[in-house]
Amino acid sequence: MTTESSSDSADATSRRVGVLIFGPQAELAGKRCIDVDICPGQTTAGEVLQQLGEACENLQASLPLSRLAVNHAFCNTEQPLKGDEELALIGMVGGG
Amino acid sequence: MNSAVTVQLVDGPLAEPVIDAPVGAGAVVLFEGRTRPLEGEKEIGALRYEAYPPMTMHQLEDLADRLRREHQLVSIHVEHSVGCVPVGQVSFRLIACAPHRKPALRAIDEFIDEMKRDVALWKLPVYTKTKVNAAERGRAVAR
Repeated sequence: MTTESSSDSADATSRRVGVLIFGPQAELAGKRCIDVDICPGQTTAGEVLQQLGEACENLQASLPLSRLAVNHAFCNTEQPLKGDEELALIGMVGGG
Repeated sequence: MNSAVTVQLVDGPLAEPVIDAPVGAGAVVLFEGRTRPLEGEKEIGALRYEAYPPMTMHQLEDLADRLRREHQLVSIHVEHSVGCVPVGQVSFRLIACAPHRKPALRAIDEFIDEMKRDVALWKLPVYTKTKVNAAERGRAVAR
């Protein structure tokens, strides 16, 4: 689930969007959702990963091996975001 | 997607398998993953699995269907637990049916490697000092 709200600190055109966090990374972060600021059409997936690291120091070590999912599919770090997508951090996976 | 590919996420440990091998399956290969009693050197009571269901299901279905076509399987069946799976219980099952054994064995191996690398599934150890109650045992923790 993605939450959105207006952001006081970010640019007036930006949107505050929640990134879903799972598994060991949710335990490291102590939460299951972290808000990031997205300027529609400008902020990239890579920049969202960077914001996650800035928002939560405990996640930093795992971020180089993590990917962002946009609407349930992996995207590359250069992909610009619209700000209305469902975002999720996918890292430290371990099924089986 | 078609009936030759079936994928299920199941709350808690998996039940005993029901194998309904299709006609044409000269080889039926079943793989099961079970919870080990040790995580590293620490004793655990269970593993707690988490999924991101819309993405996890899509990834498992895509992976199974691609390997079915690449290895010309007759069918492939995937089950994975979410929630707590106590030691010794089954959390993952893969059944590949093919005309001959080698494609089925290869498909099983490739599926597991790719799943562990890419699929949105997580596991967390539940250490023995942490009481696993009945409510927790079968509860999916995915959002």
